[in-house]
Amino acid sequence: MTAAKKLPQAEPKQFNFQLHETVSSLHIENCARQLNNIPEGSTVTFDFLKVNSVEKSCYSSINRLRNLLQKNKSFLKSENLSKALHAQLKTDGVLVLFHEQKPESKPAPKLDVKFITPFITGTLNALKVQANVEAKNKSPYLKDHQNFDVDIAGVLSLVSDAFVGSISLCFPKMTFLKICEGLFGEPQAEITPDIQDAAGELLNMIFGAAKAELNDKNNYEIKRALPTVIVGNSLKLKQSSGPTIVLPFESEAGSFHLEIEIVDKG
Amino acid sequence: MFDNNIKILVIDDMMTIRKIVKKTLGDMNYKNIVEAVDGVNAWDVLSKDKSINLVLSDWNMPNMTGLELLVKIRADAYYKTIPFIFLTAEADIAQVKQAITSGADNYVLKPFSLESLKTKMTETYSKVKTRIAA
Repeated sequence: MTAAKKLPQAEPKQFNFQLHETVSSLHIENCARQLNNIPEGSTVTFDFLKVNSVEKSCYSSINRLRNLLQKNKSFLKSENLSKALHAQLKTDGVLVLFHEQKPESKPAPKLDVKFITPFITGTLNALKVQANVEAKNKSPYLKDHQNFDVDIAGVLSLVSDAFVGSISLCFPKMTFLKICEGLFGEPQAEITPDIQDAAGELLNMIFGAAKAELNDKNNYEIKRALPTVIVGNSLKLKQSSGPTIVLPFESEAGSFHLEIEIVDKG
Repeated sequence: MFDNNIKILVIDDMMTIRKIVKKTLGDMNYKNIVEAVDGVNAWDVLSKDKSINLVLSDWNMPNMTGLELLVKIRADAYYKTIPFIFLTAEADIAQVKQAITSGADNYVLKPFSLESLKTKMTETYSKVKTRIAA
């Protein structure tokens, strides 16, 4: 008598449902009907992007679906919940039905070549394409209370599940004015409120490109951030407890630098 | 390509970018430009002005993001078919996909040149001309 051959198990699948403006029990039941015999370990995601309201009558349908999925070792997840809906579902005890996968705790990245290179290439590209300014990076070094000639800086916070930090794009006045001349196509005499946010926007471009590369290739899950701008004469950016690396640049507009600080959330 | 007389709504919280985009569009002979500083302001402009033909929007803005604005526009009876192009520094693949599945017609990455913006606008026009003629 030969042993019965074990059939290979189907691979887990992803099922995504973009929910309607108003989520009702009928809607959830319709989604559930499409989920018969799904492979074990699958993930069902409800996308709430277009949802304006969730009827309380659908809670029991969601609960039934979640229980069925659990028996199959599958998961129910939510995506793009607005703050208001998140609060509603949490208050009504429904949010717990959605599986919250905690990210694997990754250590903070080191301020090494792999981490800083996307910021260097992002800087060179942003200046070349947007301001028509050729720049060259010089050797990076750890900040140790050096004094820099900084009259304007774009600053944003680096936030990820594993680490926090900050990035500052720092310019002396004349370098900034020359770069702005390249951005706007006309000479700039002073750092006026009209042009100040260029420091923030350039940092935005550098960060956007670097974040994409670091998230897509290394899965750092760095979150979006809005830059702010600090203006003054001879600014001194406070050095905090984490290591800060300085990325200096030379350009036809003058010298400037980027500072990146990382602190392990540990 | 889009007619040079169209009215374009440029949305970005940074004055720098609105200036640069306006100048770049001007170099392409598009002079009829209106501006908004975020999604809330843009929605207000769209509600009051029914003659806008194209939206160029940043993603990452305070009060209402470009994505939230896009969802609102695509749900609106009057503006649901308006061509919508993201002009943003957000380059993550997942975000680009999300933009397109949410109804954006195209995606321009910052930093951008006149050539890249022109190419994307031409692509968008080819894609939407039947829809906007209807």
